[in-house]
Amino acid sequence: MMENIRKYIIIFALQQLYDWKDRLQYRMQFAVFIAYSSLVPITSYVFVTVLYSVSGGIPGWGYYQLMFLTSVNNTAIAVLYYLFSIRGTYDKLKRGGLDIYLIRPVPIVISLLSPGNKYFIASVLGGIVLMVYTILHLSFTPIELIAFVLALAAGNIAYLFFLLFFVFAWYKWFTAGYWMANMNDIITDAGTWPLSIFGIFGAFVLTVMLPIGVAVYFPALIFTGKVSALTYIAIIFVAISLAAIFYKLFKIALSSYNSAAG
Amino acid sequence: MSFYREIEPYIGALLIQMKETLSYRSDFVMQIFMRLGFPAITIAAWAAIYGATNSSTIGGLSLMSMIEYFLVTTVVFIVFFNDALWDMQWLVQSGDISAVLLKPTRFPLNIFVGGTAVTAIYFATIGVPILAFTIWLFHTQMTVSTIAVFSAYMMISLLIGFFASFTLGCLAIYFIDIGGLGMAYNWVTVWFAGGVVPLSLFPSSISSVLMSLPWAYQGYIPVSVLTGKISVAAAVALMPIGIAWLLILFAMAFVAWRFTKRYMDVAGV
Repeated sequence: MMENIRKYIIIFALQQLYDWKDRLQYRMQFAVFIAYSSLVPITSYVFVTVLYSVSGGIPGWGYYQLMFLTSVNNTAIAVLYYLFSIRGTYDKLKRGGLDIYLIRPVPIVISLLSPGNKYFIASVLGGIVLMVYTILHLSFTPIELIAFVLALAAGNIAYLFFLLFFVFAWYKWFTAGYWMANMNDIITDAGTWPLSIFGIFGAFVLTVMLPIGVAVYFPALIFTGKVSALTYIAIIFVAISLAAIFYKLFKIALSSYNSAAG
Repeated sequence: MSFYREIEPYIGALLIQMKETLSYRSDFVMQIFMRLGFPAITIAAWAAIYGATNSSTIGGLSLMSMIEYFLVTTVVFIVFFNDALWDMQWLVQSGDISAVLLKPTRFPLNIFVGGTAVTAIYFATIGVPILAFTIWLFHTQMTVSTIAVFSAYMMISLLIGFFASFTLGCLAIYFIDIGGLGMAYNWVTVWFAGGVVPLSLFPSSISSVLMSLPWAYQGYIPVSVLTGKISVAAAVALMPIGIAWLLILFAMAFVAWRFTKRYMDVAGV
């Protein structure tokens, strides 16, 4: 077991290394993308600041609380983009490029987590800086911080498996699925906001069916002081359950994959 | 007759691009829904913000005005977002640029026609219904002069979008992969054209700078004309600046293409 985990970690690290080497071939592209990617967290700062300077903001959410939610969303999404590419995965499905992943001696999820966009490292780092900046303006205990990290990890695993399932399931029936990258942009745009603004139905959809809520909103909610111990357990339970369900669905969709090469 | 012969290949290119856009029907239908997603989220967020604010207006805009603004913004953005940069990158990366250059057509016009075909399809399927719905719902005052000035700005918007995208697209021949540049450009465009926050809500010093840049003439000003935030007379008075930006970007695209063409001849593309 431990030997396998060690092997997977080494293979994952090697994948990252070669992907970085590949990306660094285009130096101008690298410089521009890094510059762009570092702008994304600044967007959150500007937007929330403008919003609160002209209005009362979102009901029940203070300036730093909303800034924290936005920065958590941007950071989580940047990590996702860093690791996983919807468009790239769909291209692989269409052109038979996935076959090489299927014969590797590692779980396919590890292989699928390699071809993300490495430039988003700047967004990840910028997002973390903004998160730390906002956390310092919020009151919290070390236990809340640990609880937040655990909920964030569980929620984002659920969201990743949701995307994997969705991409593979859509490919089963339809040739073209480039719209899914736009869908992800919209879902993550919704994740910038407290779920309460979308009403009960919207909040349900964004928690259970398109689980950005468990990936971003509920973990961030811990810092608003509105989460009791019982609610926290429910958040973790829902996140783990959704991760397990979407993983199972992803495996079913994967088992029905037919290579483009026949 | 000779004029028709001149434009015939471009009409063909336009029709082919339209067919290609519609060839994957499920993807096309889903793309339509996706384009409605952003305004829906933005409107939900602003509705919540207005609900929490004691005043009925924010920055001089009521909630209904804000909804109207973002609906029209969706339509205007369909017009000015141009895929020239991405198309040119694809042609360079796939090597198909050689085949396109061999055609008896002008390359920039070919790219323009291809992008316009996509714009036309989405404008017809999403833009027109949203525009009609907005006018019906908000009783938007549509005088002949409003329609004329809005249409003129739409033309300016379309062309500025193309020339800027084409100029950046020329860099693909030097750098091969310019996806990062494209995303950065889109990001700047969305923000600076008032796609996230109306420019009038920014502090006045920032707002006045943003209003003097080309993006304002692509998004914020046309939207404001149609929604009545800016009078027709004021919009007409601002138009020479928009046209000046259009000419500057045309000159940039022209020069960029001249250099790129020369570079390709030397490189034997």
